[in-house]
Amino acid sequence: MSCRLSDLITEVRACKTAEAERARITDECAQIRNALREEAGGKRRGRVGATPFRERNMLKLMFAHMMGHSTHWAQMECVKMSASPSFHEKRVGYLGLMLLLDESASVLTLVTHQLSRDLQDESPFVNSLALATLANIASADMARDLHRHVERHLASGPPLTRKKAALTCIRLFKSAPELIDDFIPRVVGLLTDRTHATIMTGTTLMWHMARMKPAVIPRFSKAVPHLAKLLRKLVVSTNVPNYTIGRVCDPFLQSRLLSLLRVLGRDNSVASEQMNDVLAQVATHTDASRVAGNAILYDAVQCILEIESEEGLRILAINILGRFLLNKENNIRYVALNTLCHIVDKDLPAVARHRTTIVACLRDADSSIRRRALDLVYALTDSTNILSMAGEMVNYAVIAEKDERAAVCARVASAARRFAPSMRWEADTLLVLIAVRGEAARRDVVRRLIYLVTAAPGDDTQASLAHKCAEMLSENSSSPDCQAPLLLIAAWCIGEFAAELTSDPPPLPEGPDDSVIPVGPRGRARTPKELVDVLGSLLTHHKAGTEIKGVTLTALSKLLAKIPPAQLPADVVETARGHLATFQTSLNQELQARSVEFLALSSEDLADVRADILAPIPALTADAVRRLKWESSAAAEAAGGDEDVIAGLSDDVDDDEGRAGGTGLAAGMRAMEATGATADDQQANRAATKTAEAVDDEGSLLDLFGGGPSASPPADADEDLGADGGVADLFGPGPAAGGAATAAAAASSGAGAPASGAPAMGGGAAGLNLDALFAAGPGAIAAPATHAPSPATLHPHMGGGPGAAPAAGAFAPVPAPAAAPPSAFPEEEAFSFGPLRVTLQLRLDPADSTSAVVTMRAYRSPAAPAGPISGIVLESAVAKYMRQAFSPPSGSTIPDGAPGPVQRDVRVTNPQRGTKPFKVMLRVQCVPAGGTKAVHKADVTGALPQV
Amino acid sequence: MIKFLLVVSRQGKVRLAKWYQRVRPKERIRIRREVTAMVLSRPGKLCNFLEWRDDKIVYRRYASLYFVACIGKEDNELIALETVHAFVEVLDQYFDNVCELDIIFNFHKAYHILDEMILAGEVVETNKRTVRNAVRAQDELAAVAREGGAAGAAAATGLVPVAGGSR
Repeated sequence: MSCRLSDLITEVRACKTAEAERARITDECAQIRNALREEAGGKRRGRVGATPFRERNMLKLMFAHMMGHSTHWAQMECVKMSASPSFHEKRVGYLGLMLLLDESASVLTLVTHQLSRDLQDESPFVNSLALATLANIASADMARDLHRHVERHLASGPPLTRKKAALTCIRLFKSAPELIDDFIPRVVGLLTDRTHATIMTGTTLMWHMARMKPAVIPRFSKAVPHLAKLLRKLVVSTNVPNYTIGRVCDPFLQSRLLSLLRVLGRDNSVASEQMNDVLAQVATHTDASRVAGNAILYDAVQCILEIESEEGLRILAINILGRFLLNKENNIRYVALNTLCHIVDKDLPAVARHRTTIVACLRDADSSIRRRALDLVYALTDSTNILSMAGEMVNYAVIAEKDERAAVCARVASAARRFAPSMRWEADTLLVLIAVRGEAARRDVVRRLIYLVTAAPGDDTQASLAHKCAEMLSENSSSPDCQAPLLLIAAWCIGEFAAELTSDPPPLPEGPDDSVIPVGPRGRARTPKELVDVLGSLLTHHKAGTEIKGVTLTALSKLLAKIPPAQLPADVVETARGHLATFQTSLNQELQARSVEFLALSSEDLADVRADILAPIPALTADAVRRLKWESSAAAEAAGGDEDVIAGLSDDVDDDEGRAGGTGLAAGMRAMEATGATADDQQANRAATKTAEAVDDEGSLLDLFGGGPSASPPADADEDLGADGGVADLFGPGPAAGGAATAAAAASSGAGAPASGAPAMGGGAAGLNLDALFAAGPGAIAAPATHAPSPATLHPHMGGGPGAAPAAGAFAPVPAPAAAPPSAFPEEEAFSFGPLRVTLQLRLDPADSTSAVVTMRAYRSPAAPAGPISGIVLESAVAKYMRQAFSPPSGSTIPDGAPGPVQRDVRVTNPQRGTKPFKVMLRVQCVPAGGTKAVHKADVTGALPQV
Repeated sequence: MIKFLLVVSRQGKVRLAKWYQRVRPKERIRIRREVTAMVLSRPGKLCNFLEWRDDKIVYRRYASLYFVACIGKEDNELIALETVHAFVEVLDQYFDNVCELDIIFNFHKAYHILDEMILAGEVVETNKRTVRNAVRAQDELAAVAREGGAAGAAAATGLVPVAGGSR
């Protein structure tokens, strides 16, 4: 026996748990299903409509649907009920259709038939039910089938169906836009109706038609005088019973009329002229004491500002907005700000007049208002008011809710960048921003700050920024809201400017620039012990991720090199070395490697190379930053992010965590920058390469990299293949010792570190050299596992890009610390041909005994004539029983004077290793300077060590 | 235009939900949750508008119920607020001092009233008396039909079954 709807609802409400609630509804649904089945089976005879519980069951289903239960099986019942001749069932049936039907429902065709009949019914109530249903569920096919009936109601129905037919048309047109043209005369006819509802729905429909198909606007514009007349009548009439709300006559109709006028008057001076008067009347006569009146004024202002209105009228509108802004009500202030946002592009001075009020809104308690105000404040910021506006925005960043922070950080950074009075000021502002909301800022804010610090004019500026940084760190680091990027910057600053930090901060510059330096902590002189302790605390800080730990390690080792030994007490050095050793047994490959290396580097034996390796990072050039910036925006685009919504941010963070290889070694911020700028490894590569190029532009790092002029020929920066070849050229040819220094320098300065370990030091060679270096050190700490050269192909995720010259094994995280290194064989000369000398090097893969990586290298042979060798192609072929997979070549050109090499890895797999040899043939192409293309093929099986 | 209208209790239970745009059922549930959480977490006395995705949420609390409407970016928020208010007023008159329980137990009546006031996301009638009369007239028709069966209803309303309409 079926219970009543109210009983069901009571029972469900009485259920103590969600589980019981579900059970009760499922039970009821099952009963209803049975009832439906019985009915369909014809067991229950009698007149349709006399079935006692149909209506009740349908209502229960709607209730179940509202409670989130699936009711799709009842859609057919809705159709049946809507076909019922008795009104109560029809009404509930149609309600069910509107609520339960999803758009994919296949019952729509059946409904179409029923709707068609009901639209032609004699009872206006039945018509109105059908129209309402159609307005809710019409599909394109239904629209085409039924629009004639709707049009009939539009033309000559009673008000009840006429108004509904008008709104139903909106849905029909959305489903089938081609119908719009046929309806135009009918729709304009609605405006002459006498009832408010019909005029209003007609106006609404016209507005929608104009929006959907702007081509109809000219055909509507002759209705403008009539619309203006209607509006005037409403404005002057007072106290019309049943229509007056808040002392305004039918605000709904007035609002619709104004919206339509707005569309019709846009870019139409004639229409605008016709509505000027009535708009003035609306603006002056509307009672603004209630919501309704303000709603009308809001529409009127928008209309005036959008059409080609008279100057006086515009001033009136702006004044109304000014009044709105001062209103006590939040709602009114919100709409005022919203409108100002719309017009700020067109009429900046008008908005600027309200600047103080808008700025005050930034401190409002309401986030909706703050958000609008932020947009406006940003739009109003220029070089004359940047100081106060940036201050306001930073203050806002402090109180902003979580989801607003990213937007406000982006705004501050962008405004500071565009209008900064000085670099120092911009750096100060960004530093404060990072200290308060660094985690919400995009990575390029951090990057920009580093650039500003490195490029800051004069040591004083750098030193005072470093002092400020250190001071902010000590103020914030213990707070739970401490921002990770601040830790990063501070660690970097301490590492770079350790010597400056031990003396007092420089005095503030005097002169007119005084005022533009934001107030902030100045800092004080710190003892080396303090600095070491601070860095030590960062290593275990709760916000410090791999990246920050990496930077901190680098900072520690730089600190030891920068502070003169006389000022460094032995116990401080020991503490620092203790900190360096923290990660010696870390599971994180990157940190472990750094820990071990830096510890070795801090020993007395390497004191003479330390200064070189840990030299300060040269200032970034604006050019390099621009290129990094480009990378960054490309990456952001790839991640689908945009300037305000920081979609890319989380990606960045993920990248950082996931790619410790690049970021852990954040020794130099370069690494971080490049990583921040990457969306994938390819870009990491390119970014790193660009950094390398930038270095080359500077020309100052070359010495540092140990190769000397002869060993490190200038990279061809203009060369298009620079992305691939430049780096290898730059770093490749160093002699063994030089190469080692290079590797270490790269590690410490991070010049190319991310992911691919871009400054590919001739594949495994660098790793070996590094090993040699560390092996020479005391204690021989160099753990072979971590420094083992690992072929690029072992790390497909790192070497995927075109620039993926063999990932410098030394810095690439190997999959597991325990993995034994692949045994590498010395480089063997295969043959010389033309200007080239080709060598091969075989490295066995420890994980897979059947495969090996063969590195082909083409050097300039000593006898070769001067001039660049271009068009170098290295290819190999293997015997049929073997397989091979190529990595991209490092380049195709050996520039003039450079020894090379151009190199390429090929991974060969020999499943029958042991019984059959690695049989490889080589094909080498090149174009010598002034010559023509030459090709050489040779069987090089003999040159490979057969193991 | 109004894209959807939700009436939710302070505990986040949906009392009425009307969609004026095509939205998949799964998406409906997600939107419902998201919007409800946003609205319920707003402290009082703030403005009644929220920016959400590309649209705006206009909400207002009446006793224990939140009336939440989603409108387009260019729509007039204040008028949307008035629309919601008009709906509440009609409910109030219809149920004679409406309370949450009225809407829980008579949700279908609330939907009928809503259909007389808002159609395809736009206001269809602003005269509350007209709305009330239309709903009452249909209620009576339905009551007569319920009492007298199909034939009686047809006679009382002038509904003439179309050939084939009844078995």
